[in-house]
This record gives sequence, C-alpha cells and structure tokens, in this order.
Amino acid sequence: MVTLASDKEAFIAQYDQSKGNLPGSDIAWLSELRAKNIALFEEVGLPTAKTELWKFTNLNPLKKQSFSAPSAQEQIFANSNELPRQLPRLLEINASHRLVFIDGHYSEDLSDKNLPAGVTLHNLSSAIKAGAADLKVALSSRAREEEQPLVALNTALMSDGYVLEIAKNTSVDCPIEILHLGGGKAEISYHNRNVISVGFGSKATIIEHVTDRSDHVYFSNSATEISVSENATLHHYRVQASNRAAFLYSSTEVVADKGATYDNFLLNTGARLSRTETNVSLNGENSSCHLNASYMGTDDQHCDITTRVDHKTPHTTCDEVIKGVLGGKARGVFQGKIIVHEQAQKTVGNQSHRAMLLSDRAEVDAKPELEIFADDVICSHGCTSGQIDKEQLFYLRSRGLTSEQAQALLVNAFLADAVEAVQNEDLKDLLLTKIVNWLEQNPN
Amino acid sequence: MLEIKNLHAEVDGKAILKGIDLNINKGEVHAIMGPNGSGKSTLANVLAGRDDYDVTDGGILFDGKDISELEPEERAGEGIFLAFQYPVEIPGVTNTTFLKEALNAQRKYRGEDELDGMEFVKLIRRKTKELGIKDDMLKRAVNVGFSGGEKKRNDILQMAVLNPKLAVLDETDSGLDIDALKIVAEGVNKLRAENNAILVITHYQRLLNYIVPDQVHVLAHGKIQRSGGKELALELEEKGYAEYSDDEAA
Ligand SMILES: Nc1ncnc2c1ncn2[C@@H]1O[C@H](COP(=O)(O)OP(=O)(O)OP(=O)(O)O)[C@@H](O)[C@H]1O
Ligand SMILES: [Mg+2]
Repeated sequence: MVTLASDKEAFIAQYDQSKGNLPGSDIAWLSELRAKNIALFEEVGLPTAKTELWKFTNLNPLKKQSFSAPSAQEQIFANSNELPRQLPRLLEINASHRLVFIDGHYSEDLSDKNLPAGVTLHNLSSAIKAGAADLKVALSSRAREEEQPLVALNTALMSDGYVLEIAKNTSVDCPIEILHLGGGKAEISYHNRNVISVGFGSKATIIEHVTDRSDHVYFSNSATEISVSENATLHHYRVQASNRAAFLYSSTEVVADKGATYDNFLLNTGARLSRTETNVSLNGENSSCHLNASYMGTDDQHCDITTRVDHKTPHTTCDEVIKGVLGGKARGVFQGKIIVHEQAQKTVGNQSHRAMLLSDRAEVDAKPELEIFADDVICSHGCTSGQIDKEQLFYLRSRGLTSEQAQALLVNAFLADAVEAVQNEDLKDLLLTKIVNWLEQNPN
Repeated sequence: MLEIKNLHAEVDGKAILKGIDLNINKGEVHAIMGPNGSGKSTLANVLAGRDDYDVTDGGILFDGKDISELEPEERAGEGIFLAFQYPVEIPGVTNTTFLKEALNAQRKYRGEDELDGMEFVKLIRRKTKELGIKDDMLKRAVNVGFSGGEKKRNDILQMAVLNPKLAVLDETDSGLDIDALKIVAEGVNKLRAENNAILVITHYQRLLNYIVPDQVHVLAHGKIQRSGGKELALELEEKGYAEYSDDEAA
C-alpha cells in the first residue's frame, strides 16, 4: 500500500505504480486508452475554480487529503467480517435484485445471483477479459475529457465497476438495486467505471445507493456510460447518502436513440463534497429525458449538481426539476446547460431549480444556460432561491402546528415536488421517507 | 372570555391599533365593521399571534390568561382560531394531512390523545358533509387552485374540525355566493354555543342576517369608535363611515 497526497502528481504516481496490475493491462487498446487519459489528466490537472465549469465547486478540501488505492488484500474478500450483518437495502428483498460493491469492489458473494431473464451482468475486469467489442466503444466514447479531468483520471485508473446489458425487447419489472458501500478504510480512493446498455424496446429500472459504514474520509470517483436504444426506457435513480467526510464525484454520460427515454432522479443528502454530473445526448428523434433531483445539505456540506442536455435531433424533450434545501453553512450548486443544435427543431426543454435556504449562512449558486441554434423550440428555465415562506408558516402555526412541524411540512412538500415524477411507487415512498428522516435528523 | 384592554400595536414602526378595548363573553357573537385600512385585520392577526406586529401597550386576556406572549400555535391550542381574509396556499400539502396534523397538534398541546386514522376520517366526513364540501377537495393541496369562495369555505372547514373556543372570521363572507354564504353561516352557527364566542369582521350587513350578532363595533383609526346592537350594522350600511372620517381621529 502506498500513501499519496491527492494532488495531480500523486494520482499520476498511483497510475505509474499500478498500471501493470490494472484490469486489461495486457490488452493493447485499453493500455493505450489509459495512457492517453493519464497524459490528458497530467496536462489539465485536477479541476480548479479557474475553469468555468468548476467555478462554484472548490476541490481544495479534497486536495488536502491524501488518498491511497485500496490494495488487493484490503478488498472486501479479505475482511468481510467488518461488514454490517445487514447490508443497507433500499427495496425489499423480493422487490429488487441487488448488486453489491464494497469500497469500489464488486462482491459476487454478496450480490444476487439470479438476475432476471435478458439481463447480463459482468464486473468490469471480467467484461474486459471477455473482450466485448462494444466495451471498447463505450469506454472510449467520452468526447470532452478536457472538460472532465476526473473522468480522464477514472479512465486511467478504473479498476472495477459493472457492465450491465439489457437484451432487446426485455421488460425487467423488478428494479436492479446497486449498492455502493464505502467507508471500509480511511483515506482510500477508487475509480469505478460502469456501462449500461438497454436494448431495443426494453425497459428497466436501476437504483443506485451510495452510502457507507463509517465516518472515514474516502473519495469515490465514478463514471458511467449509458446507452438507451431505440424505443427503450431506462429509469435510473440514485440515492447518495454518504458520511460528512466523504468526497463523491460521479459523471454519467447518456446517449438516447430514437424514441428512447432516460428518466433520472437523484436524492442527495450528500457527503462532505459531492458533485454529480449528468450529460444526456438526445441523439434520436422523439427521445426524451427527465433529470430530477432533491438535495439537502447542512453544516459544511457542499452539493453540486451539474447537467448538460444536448438536443441533436427534432422532437426531443427534456424536463428538469431540481429542488434543494440548505441549512447550516451548506452550499448548493446547480449548473444546467441545455444545448439545442441547429437541426433539433420542435425541441421542448424545461428546467427549473429552486432552493430553499434555512439559515443565513447557507448559500446557493445556480447557473442555467440555454444555447439555442434552432428556431422552432420551446424552452424555459427558472432558478429561484429564498427562505421559507412566512405567510405559509404563520398559516400553519395559527392552526396549531409548532414552528418545527410547520417548517418540516413545508420543506418536505417543497422537496417532494421533484419526487413526483418517480414512477415506481415503492421507491417513491422510500424517497419521501428519506426526506422526512433527513428533516427529523436535521431540524436546522 | 376575551378581554382586550387598551391594545396598541404597530407594524414597521407605524401605529395601527391605538387603544382597543373589547370584551367578548362566552356564548356571544360580536361583529366589527369599519373602513378599509382601519386595522380590523391587524387586530385579528394580533389576536392570532402574528409576529410582524408589535404590541406596544395594553394586553389580551383569554379565559383570564394573558396570551400576549404566546406563540401562534399555543394560542391555537388554547382555542383561538382565525379565518384569514386571504387564506394562504400551501403547495404539496394536502388538506387531509394539514387537518390531521393541526388537530393532533392541538390535542397534544391540551394533553389529549391524538385521534387515530379511523376516528379522524369519520370526523372529517361528517364536517365536509355538513359544509357541502366535496371529498376530492380533501385530497388537493391546501387552497392551491381553489377559487376565492372555496378558500373561504376551506377555512370554515378547518374551523369546524378544530372546534375553537373563539373564532375570528376576517371577511369570510366576501367572495361567497349566496348559497355558500348560507352554508358558512350555518357552520358558524353550529359552533355557536354556550362556551364559544365568535368575532366576525365584515363589510356587509347581509352576513349579519344569518349570523346575528349580540354587539356591533365600529373600528376606525385604530380604535373602537362606537358599539351598539345589530341595528348599528343597518345604520352603517345606510350612512357609511363619513362620521368617523379622518378629522375626528386623534
Ligand atoms: N406589514 C405591513 N406593513 C405596512 N403597513 C401595514 C402592514 N400591515 C398592515 N399595514 C397597514 O395597516 C393598516 C391597517 O391594515 P388592516 O389590514 O388591518 O386594515 P383592515 O381594516 O383589515 O382593512 P380592509 O377592510 O381593507 O381589510 C393599513 O393602512 C395597512 O396598509
Ligand atoms: Mg382586512
């Protein structure tokens, strides 16, 4: 095990030391890809506030930490006795299939063996070994690594992750839950890479649960490539509930074909610092996406949600409803870019971000951006932030609710609005409960 | 039951109530009339404990207890209810949830057991029926998208469910159609009992045909200028407030 300060050099040193042992080190295209990306990372470095895209999120707290890569011996397989007897589970045993990652490593033992018909799962290294041709395409598909140095770093260092394939014309009724359990050891970092492809006309629900089992500092740098084929629908939900010391970066890149739907919801109660980037490319006519989120922060938490939607063909639709509540000295960031390309006539794009500040020291920065190159489009965006409404508070209190009850009811209603679009009723209830729990634990 | 003594209140340093004296006994209905901006809603809000208003002098006794320092929810628990001149919209909170939380919060304040789901549903069913309120209204968010009259009726539903000792109705009649006015008046009259009192703020004598007051007061320039029986309302309707105009205020 080597301890490294997490500045640029430290990560590069980590690459130099581990490159011979990374999955696929004997595969030429992959080694080249890794080499190219570490070079790129070396050139660009860790993001700084000087970059427009990172203006509001400062990675200095991360840079001050020193992270090491979890070595093979420290992997779950060696110390599973440290695991809680009951692993966190969002949905009932019978209501979901679950895959388990412990500190970035896929655990076959802990994951459900019987996946629904039409669903194939490999962990990254076995998928690489199997030599799937489309994996090369998926892993090489990022076009803007200069803007995403952490993704370049991920490509260079990716050591595990999942490759999930839904065959064509398959309707997977039971949601697939993916648990990412961190916190096994202090000051480790991991770089997971995931690939999801949903075949022609298929339908699936994936719920990712990012959480941990300790207060340890760790850095999870994950990247996910998603393709939703013609007439397919992917419901992709994410619950991020990490400890107040963790750093989470996640970048998801989605390509939607003709008539495809990508439906995304993020519930973020955060980490010390989290940045969740979702980029959707609506490549086929009549494709659509929902990028909804509810986020909550308190103390010195920092929560960044950055989205980008590219409308590339006619008749594409995107809806974004993002609601945030911040107390303490918490900071929220929303950056939402919508680009309507020249040929993307009849685009409909609606984006709204609303933040509620429960304390004078909480802050939010919102940057909506519309770039429209077509003329026949309907786009709207709105960003607001403000305190809880006093009239509403008085109205509720005048009926007997205590000010805490009244505030909780109003904040809950405010956040729940973004959960409305979640179609799975069990999950919707669960998300609403998580919001209520958060409010109870953080009365602000 | 309610004793207001020499009550002075101001908002943003501007004096609005300048010495109100008013006594309401159990079982009585009082009406307050007066020109726009004279301080009627201010009085109602001060009674309910809104903190935008500073009470600078005088006080309020409710059931013999000084309530001036109580929080709005404590006053509600003591049995004071205000039907708002402009009921507030609460997006995302259904009427049912709101009613249930409010009722149970008040019961808890008074040391009573909370109602369970069944008991609550039965109570609500009875009250909505009495007030001619459709069930689907209960599933909707509080006052959101309600018409003006529906909002007023919704406040009366809350009153009926919460069963306060003192109900203050701030222009609950404005915006109601004739049938709704009768229904609301019936609801109020049901509450009217030996141990309850009602304070009605209105611009129209018509409401007082249905809710017959024991006393009518004229509030102008932050003071009760005159008090009388129900005939006073008729007189005001005829003559207006000319005799209470600015020059005699001081
Ligand atoms: N928050 C406030 N800031 C400044 N002035 C206020 C505020 N609230 C009330 N006022 C002023 O206090 C005065 C009394 O207002 P109030 O609402 O009590 O009148 P009202 O008698 O209820 O009138 P109406 O018949 O029109 O309902 C008005 O001049 C009003 O403008
Ligand atoms: Mg008024």
